[in-house]
Amino acid sequence: MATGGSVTRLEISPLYGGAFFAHFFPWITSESEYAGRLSGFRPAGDLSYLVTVLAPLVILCAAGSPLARLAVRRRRPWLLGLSLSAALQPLAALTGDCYEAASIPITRFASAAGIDWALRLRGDDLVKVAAQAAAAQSPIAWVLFAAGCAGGVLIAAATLVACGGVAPPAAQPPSQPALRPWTRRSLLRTGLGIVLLGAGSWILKRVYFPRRLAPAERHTLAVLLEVLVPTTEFSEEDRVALLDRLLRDCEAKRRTRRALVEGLHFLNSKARELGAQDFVGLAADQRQSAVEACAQSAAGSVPQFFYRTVRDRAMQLVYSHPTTWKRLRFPHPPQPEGYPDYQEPPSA
Amino acid sequence: MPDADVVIVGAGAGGLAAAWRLTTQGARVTLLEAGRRYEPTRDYPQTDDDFELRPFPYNAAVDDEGEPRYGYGPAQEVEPALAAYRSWNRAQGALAPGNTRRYAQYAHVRGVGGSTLHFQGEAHRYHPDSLRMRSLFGVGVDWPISYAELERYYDLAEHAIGVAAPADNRFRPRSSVPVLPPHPLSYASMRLVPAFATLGATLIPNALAILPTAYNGRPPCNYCNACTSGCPLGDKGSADVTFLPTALATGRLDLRTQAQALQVETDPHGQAAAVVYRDAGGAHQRVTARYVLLAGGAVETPRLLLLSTSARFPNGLANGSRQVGEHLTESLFWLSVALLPDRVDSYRGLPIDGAAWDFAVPARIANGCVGGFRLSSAHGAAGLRGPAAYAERLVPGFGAAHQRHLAAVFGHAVALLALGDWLPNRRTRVDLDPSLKDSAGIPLARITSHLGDNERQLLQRMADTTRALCTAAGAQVVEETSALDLFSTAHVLGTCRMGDDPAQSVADADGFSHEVPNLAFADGAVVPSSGSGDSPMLTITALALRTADRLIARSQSRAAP
Repeated sequence: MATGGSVTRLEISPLYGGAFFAHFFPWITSESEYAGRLSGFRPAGDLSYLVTVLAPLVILCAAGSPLARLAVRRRRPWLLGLSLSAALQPLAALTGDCYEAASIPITRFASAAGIDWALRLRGDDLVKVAAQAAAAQSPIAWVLFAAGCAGGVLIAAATLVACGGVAPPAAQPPSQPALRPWTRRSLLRTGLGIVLLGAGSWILKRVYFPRRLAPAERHTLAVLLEVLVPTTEFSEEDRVALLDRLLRDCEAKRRTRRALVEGLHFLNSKARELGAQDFVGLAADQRQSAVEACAQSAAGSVPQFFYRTVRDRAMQLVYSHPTTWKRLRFPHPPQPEGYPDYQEPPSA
Repeated sequence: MPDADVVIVGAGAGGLAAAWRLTTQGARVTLLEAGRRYEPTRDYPQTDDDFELRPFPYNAAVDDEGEPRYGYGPAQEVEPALAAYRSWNRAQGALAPGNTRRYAQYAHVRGVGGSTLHFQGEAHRYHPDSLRMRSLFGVGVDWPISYAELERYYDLAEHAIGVAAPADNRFRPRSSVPVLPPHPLSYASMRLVPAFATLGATLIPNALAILPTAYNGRPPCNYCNACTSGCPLGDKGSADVTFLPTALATGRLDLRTQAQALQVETDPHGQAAAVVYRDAGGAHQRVTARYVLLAGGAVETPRLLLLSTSARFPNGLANGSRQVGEHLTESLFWLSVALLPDRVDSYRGLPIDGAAWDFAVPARIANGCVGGFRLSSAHGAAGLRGPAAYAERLVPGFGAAHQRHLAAVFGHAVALLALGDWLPNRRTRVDLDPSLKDSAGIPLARITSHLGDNERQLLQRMADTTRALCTAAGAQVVEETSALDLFSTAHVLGTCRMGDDPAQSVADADGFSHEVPNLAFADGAVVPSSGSGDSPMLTITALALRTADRLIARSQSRAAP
């Protein structure tokens, strides 16, 4: 808003207490699937947009760097823990805000040059933007994308250098007294700092940068898909393509990507309760039970959201495939033939 | 000399109809459309295997950047006592959980053809009593024109579009013979005819702007049931295939796409002088004209007027009486999906092929409730177009059991739709969102929808009747969708309604603004009442044609010495 743009509300999913906060703050709405999302953000122009993207990054880095140095100088581990995640924010935002900031002038230039779809290559999710570049079906899209990535790296490096984030802490002046030996108190502080740093990073990463599935988890998802919708009729190639698309669709949104990781974790936990190492290690009937437990989880819980998301998308994808149509006696897509026999009873 | 005789804002059912009428009578027209022009064979996905996952290629909820296209007002609380009338399905449970009504979407399309690009072809004439709701029942308002006057333009619109309709619908009497014979009911809908009879109702072929035979160079329908994804053949009477080609052929139509109107400018005399719009490149352009005709629909037209403030019109253009954006009406809806004991393959045919009009005459029902509702067989409208819909929505669970269950019920589903009256109320309206803005920083329209007592009572009656039909058909209900907890409508009307009293309306009987003599309307915004289960496309088109004629007449009288 300080840059002339506007933002209207903060969306918080009921899962994350949105309904609770909405009671107290009229600008918070719980009708959202996001853990936290500012909605209705409209910059006043490109400059406003650029400043809005970069300002938090620079402010965090600028505040974090001297604090981190101070923490080292004064041997304050808790302060180091707090400040380091801020000082290194440009690195954490390489695939997000840094790319987005670089893409603003690049895409504007391209748009002015007549590439009207270039503005679609703006965004703070590199994977999503890459999908947009692929959808454009033009090598120019990938050139713009690469330029944005390179620009993002430059912006991150420049921010770090400008804010002193990568500069080594100043040398100790000769007059500085010798370092004190470790005491129980300093050990405690160091431990606390590490814990705070770890917890802060973990929360940031979990909420804002949910990871993609590891190969083992992808295998678990493949097994889950078989439990949800047996695809024995499919060729191996089709089955892989199906899993790829399911994964791509589920990972397209931050919330569903996070639910994917946590939902698979839930299934593995259930498996351990049943005495197996993980979900894959369960017998067929036990897998059914684990998935059933997921489906029956509390309304609005992550496991239930995970089940609904994966189940519904899997059903859509599997039954949009002609392989399944024969068994159901569904003939073909609506066009080009249509269904001129629509007045007749269904053929046997 | 102005750039055009008439500038029209919006290329939907009304805008294109008016453009056709004006250009074929010699007027030079500039038509501004915020969306793009679609290429049916390229853009519509019905030939693809994943057609069920690919709706019409326009997202009505959010723009390309994922930002909302509209704001929404406060959500109405759903009374716990009406829990039996909430939306659910067998596989997914509650469709609108929580204790408030959920704003799902204002289902529309921005593009050349507007919402006719994804509409289901319904081409209904209002019941004459729907034009006299105040006189007959003391609710709503009376129209400032007679049914006989409207009917002349119904006839003109039906001929231009090519409407196939039954000639003997006694609940929608007509004095002319329909242009084309009706489409026979599908096998699935024929299966429901006896059930309707048990309620004293008759399921007859629906009146549709879909061709049973070739007409005006367009081919007949092949019954693919996918009208909502866009018609690749051109047999569905969307405005881009009915009115546009002839209008373009006159050489007097200047169609400008991706042109978002931002403001209507006025001259020192308070007359509309020009429309300022943002072009595809983001530059602001201005087009001057002798007349301005607004046809952006009942949400965007009031937005444009409210944005067009000036010293002379501080509340927005044509809004001296503060009626712009008020009196929004929708179609009250209830949709039941049920499984018959036998297979009927309802994915074949037309989306809403049958209609029973027996309850669709506005009347005073018990408890002071006023209105009527139409019942329809609406299998395609319910999205029952292939296996994915069944697997996702109608068959619960997963795994081998789900697979067996699906194989047992696929092709058994039918859908019954009830659409009813929505009386205007003070809390259902369109205004400017106080905070949401579009990509250029222009405030978005905000829709607020509130079911009044009348709507809640009528909705229960619609639901009970639909459920009784399912029972009579021996069908098991597996999904119900209700206006009680979901706002999802395409039929928005009344936000610049016409009337004789300038204090209670925005437009006069000709569809011209009471306050700005050369500003007129050609969309659903001027329609004062929702109709008793009627889809509004034909009425919007008829009124737009009539306003175009009035514009020509006014223009000629102004030009005369």
